[in-house]
Amino acid sequence: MARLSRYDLSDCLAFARKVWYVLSATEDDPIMQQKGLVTVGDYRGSWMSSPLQLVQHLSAYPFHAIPIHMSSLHALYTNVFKYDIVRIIRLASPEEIRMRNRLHHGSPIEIDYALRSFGIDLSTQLLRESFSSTDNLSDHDEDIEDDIRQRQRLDDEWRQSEAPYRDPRSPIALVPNPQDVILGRNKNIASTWPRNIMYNKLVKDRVDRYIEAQTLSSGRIDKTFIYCRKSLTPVSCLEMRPTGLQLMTQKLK
Amino acid sequence: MNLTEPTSSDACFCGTNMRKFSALWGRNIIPNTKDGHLDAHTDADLAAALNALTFAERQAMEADIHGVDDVIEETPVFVADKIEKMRQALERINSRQRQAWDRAVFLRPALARNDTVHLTFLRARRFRPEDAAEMMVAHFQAKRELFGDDLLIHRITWDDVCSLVAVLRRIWRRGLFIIFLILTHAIPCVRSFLRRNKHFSGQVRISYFGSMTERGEA
Repeated sequence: MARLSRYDLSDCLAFARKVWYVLSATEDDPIMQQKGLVTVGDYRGSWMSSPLQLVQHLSAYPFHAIPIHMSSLHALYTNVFKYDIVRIIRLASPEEIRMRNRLHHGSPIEIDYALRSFGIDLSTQLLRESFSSTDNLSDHDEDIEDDIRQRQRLDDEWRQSEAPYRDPRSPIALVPNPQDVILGRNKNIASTWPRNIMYNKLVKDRVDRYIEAQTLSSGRIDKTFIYCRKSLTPVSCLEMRPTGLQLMTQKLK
Repeated sequence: MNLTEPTSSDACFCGTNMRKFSALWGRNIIPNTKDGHLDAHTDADLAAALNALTFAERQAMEADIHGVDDVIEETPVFVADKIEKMRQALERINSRQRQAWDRAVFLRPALARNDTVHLTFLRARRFRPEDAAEMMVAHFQAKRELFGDDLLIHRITWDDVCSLVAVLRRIWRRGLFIIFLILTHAIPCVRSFLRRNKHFSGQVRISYFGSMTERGEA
């Protein structure tokens, strides 16, 4: 079971990004995809955020967009007001979420009892946090750090697997690198790519000079162009082919 | 069992199968007894209704209550058929809705041919091709909104979540009051003003303490 560390509710998007990161662990685990996931959200404690922030937080939660089958969503509350507000929000939520959502309210022992009826045993963590022992909290933090370390190892493995394609001199490109200029007919995408913007700006700045240079020798135009290219180095051009993105070595040489 | 109290067990009565069960029972699932407890007669009705359910219905009801579903068997023919239907469903979606998906495919053409990615979304939606296609479109739209165009076709790593920009922003937000206090106390005229008006200085300290308490740091 993945665990999220304590977070700041006032930054809804930061929380949504962390949820995304934690739940994207299922991309590597087909068994988890098949069986689904049981999540437990610990919202115990006093009301630290305004109701508006809570609504924003719930609306920012990317429930509908994360490719995982949520078997059930358990939420733990000790604050009665917060619990009642969430119950009202739940009534307005889609049926798929309403069916899977379980709200628990009460003391740690009551919540533990309720969770056990669903086959979830969090007694150690619930009691340890209620007594807030320093030693136990450090153990808990170590668990979280272990999870993060494990994910970072997977991230490193992924980076190494893609490293050959990130080299600007690589003849095959899985994805365009930031230094690539994308050639193609998809204007919406190509016009917003960072290097394309720079390239278009370069052309726009020099177009008047190019028109004026018709009377000059072609050698000077080439020199100007080469000079401009050097300011953009390293640069490579990619062209969309039926087989995928391909490096155009002759375009700018 | 006390059924009138709003406990966690009320979730047991919100599923579709529970509505079927309620319909089979022929009355409201929550009896209006005076003390809130089921009497012997109601217990018998409940047992009879449970016995009337078929095995499949009972399994579905258990899945609703406990949030546990059976694993769908994935034969190669079944999976290939569903992936093909999902691709067709994707094409039927409005081009404005699937803008982020189209962008992702343009930048990473292998995505459109990657069966593993399609299978992930199909599993998430219990092999319903239309729902899986909608989820895939929503996934890339949400990813674009949360992480921007740069990470649309990349795996999200811990560094992306806790990037330097995010950390600096957090430091800036939390350190704003400290910087304000240092600056206000460092400028002589402000310092003399604060000395004359101690209530103002106190207000600043209270606001700083309040902000830190709200974030659970004080």
